[in-house]
Amino acid sequence: MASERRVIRMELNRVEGDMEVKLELDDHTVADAWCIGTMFRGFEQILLGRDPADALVIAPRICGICSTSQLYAAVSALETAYQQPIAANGTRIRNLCLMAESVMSDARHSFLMFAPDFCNPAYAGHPLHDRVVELFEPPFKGRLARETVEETKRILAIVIAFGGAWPHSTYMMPGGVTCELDEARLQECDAAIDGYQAWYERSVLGCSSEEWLALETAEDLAAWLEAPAHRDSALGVFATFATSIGLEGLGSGTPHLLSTGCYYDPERWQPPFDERPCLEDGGFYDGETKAIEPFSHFEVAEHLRYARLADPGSPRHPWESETRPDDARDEPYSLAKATRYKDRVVQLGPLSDLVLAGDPLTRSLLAAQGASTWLRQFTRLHRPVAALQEMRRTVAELRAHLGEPAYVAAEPRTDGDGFGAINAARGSLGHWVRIRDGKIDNYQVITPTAWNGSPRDNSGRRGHWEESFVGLEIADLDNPVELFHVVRSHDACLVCTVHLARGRSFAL
Amino acid sequence: MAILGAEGRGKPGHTLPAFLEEHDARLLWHPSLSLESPREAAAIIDRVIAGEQALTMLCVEGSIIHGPNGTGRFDVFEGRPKRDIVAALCGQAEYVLAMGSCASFGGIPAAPPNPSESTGLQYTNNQPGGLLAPEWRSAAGLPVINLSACPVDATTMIETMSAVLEGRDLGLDKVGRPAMQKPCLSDPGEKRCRTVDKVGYACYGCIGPKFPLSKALFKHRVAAPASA
Repeated sequence: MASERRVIRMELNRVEGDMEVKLELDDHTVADAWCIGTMFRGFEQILLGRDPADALVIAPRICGICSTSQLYAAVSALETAYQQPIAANGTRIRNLCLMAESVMSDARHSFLMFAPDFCNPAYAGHPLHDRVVELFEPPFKGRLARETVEETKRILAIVIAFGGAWPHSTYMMPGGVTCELDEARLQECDAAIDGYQAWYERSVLGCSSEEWLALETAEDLAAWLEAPAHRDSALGVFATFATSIGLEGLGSGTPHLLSTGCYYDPERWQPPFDERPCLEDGGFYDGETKAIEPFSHFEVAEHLRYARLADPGSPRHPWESETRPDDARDEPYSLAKATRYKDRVVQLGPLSDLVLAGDPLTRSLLAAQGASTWLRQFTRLHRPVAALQEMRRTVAELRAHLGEPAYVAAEPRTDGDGFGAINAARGSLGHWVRIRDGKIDNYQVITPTAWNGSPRDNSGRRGHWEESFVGLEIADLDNPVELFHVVRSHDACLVCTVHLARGRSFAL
Repeated sequence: MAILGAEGRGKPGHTLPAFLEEHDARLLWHPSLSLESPREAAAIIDRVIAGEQALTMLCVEGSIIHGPNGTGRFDVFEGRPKRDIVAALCGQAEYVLAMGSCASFGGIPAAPPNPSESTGLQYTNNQPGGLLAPEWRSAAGLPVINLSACPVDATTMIETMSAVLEGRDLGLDKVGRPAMQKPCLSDPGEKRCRTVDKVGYACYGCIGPKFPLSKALFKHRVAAPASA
């Protein structure tokens, strides 16, 4: 068959946000790719000139999926700008709620957004077809899909106990949290953790948490999957199916990994905030040298050459950057910016977070297989097990500090520069604020998807997704399921990304 | 995705799967939850607009984006402003539900300086008229049903959808909010949230279904800040 070169556009769903992908195809192989943010809301412009505390209400509404993450990043940005002491119990409660949101998100993404593609007609003849349909068929028909809706709602009881609602509760203030801490609330947390862990062991893992956490190498995991009880568990079916359709070698993208670190150490996260003492370390993993360096937000820069925004002279650090739509130039094709770390294209997400936090199993799998669609998704199945243990530990710590305050008041400063970052379920999220005369002078939000789904930078280098599409072979252009897998393995959350762009689809 | 959300300590709440089953309702398409790709969704939309596929309830989430300069190009689907697609679907639906403050009234995106030129479906902030004119009515003869709040909680969404499917009176108030709508703060019988009075925030629709507890802390900000 003669080779045919053409450019096509395609739509993707089950990503949170609006984006198009334009692909140049050489026959069925992707030769080049462009990620195009297609929706603009202008949250940063709405924040300019307001009282800084308004960021606590406005910024979380960038996204209805990770609102706890947005709130935590926003309040941390204000605290660092104000140089404000934080009640240790306030940090503990924030950490606990963020862990609950992460655990919830990992299951919802895996079983409601990623796994439904296993039911794609392209796999109708697969030997495990009936099994994956029974477990994951959308919408809410598969057994595990239904259980996920019920059970993830239960784990949110932790956010409810402290924030009153999910999403969009506003219980964090500079200095701590505004809610009461008492034994009844801690018991609600215990019950939520116990119930969720029991479900996860029974319905997902097919083994105890202890047994799962003992797996530390790629070989351990392979051996675990050999046992019939494990192979037949939901995780076993997920793993067997995913590897059988080649997700291990799919969509590697950039080898460089970045994580800001997460869950501030309650005792040590205090002014002057010169270091980032995190319970889950971050850093930069250089995919070429395999070296790991500490994370510094001063190495972050936004490139605007291909963004449909006014360019005041980029690259710039977020404190100096702007977000103003402008279609005056010809080159730009996306409403998203291109963010780079030490001038490198990096990928963010649970894979990066676990590697940089030193998780042995994830590091072993990365060394054995490299980054891939499968490994990115696997980390979402793996991460909740240890997270539930960490949640238990945090509840115990709160119980030991029950009589202590969860909030310390302080006078806000009228001027300051702040930076707050945490790991949202889909990767590190950073808020940068500049306060002058008691008003917001600049506010920039950089989401994980802004990094991953960025357009080309000022040197013309492709963003991580763009890179991960190149070389992809798409068997059926009317049903590009391979592309769906790669995109969804990033838990694309475009709502927040094109800070302005939000939406739903991926057109190509 | 607030329909998968949770509210109220100790309350089990409703779930979307149970609702669909109970009412034998068919979810034509949801951007996050459906198997069909957006390309197939485009075909479903075309069939609805052509009158070949009945549409009982249209649920719209998010503000309607008209920018830049009234073109709608800040939010497109397959090259068409989504605003135009939503307007065409509204013309076919028996009932149109605005899910949340943004779809109802424009919400935070419509807050000054409204950089995306957002409106709600039938209101812009507190003024009648948005994507649709104030006198517009759906096929069943109702204005847009506004489930304001940010987010509107799952219980209100499901109770309102159930009432629509069961043909019950929705008890719409003068801005189109159904009786199932709860006050966004926990004051019984108070529909207007009074957020501004309490915490000094302009809420542009609503800042949440429940305000967390120590409201006194927020008052510090409005009055003199407390010293440490």
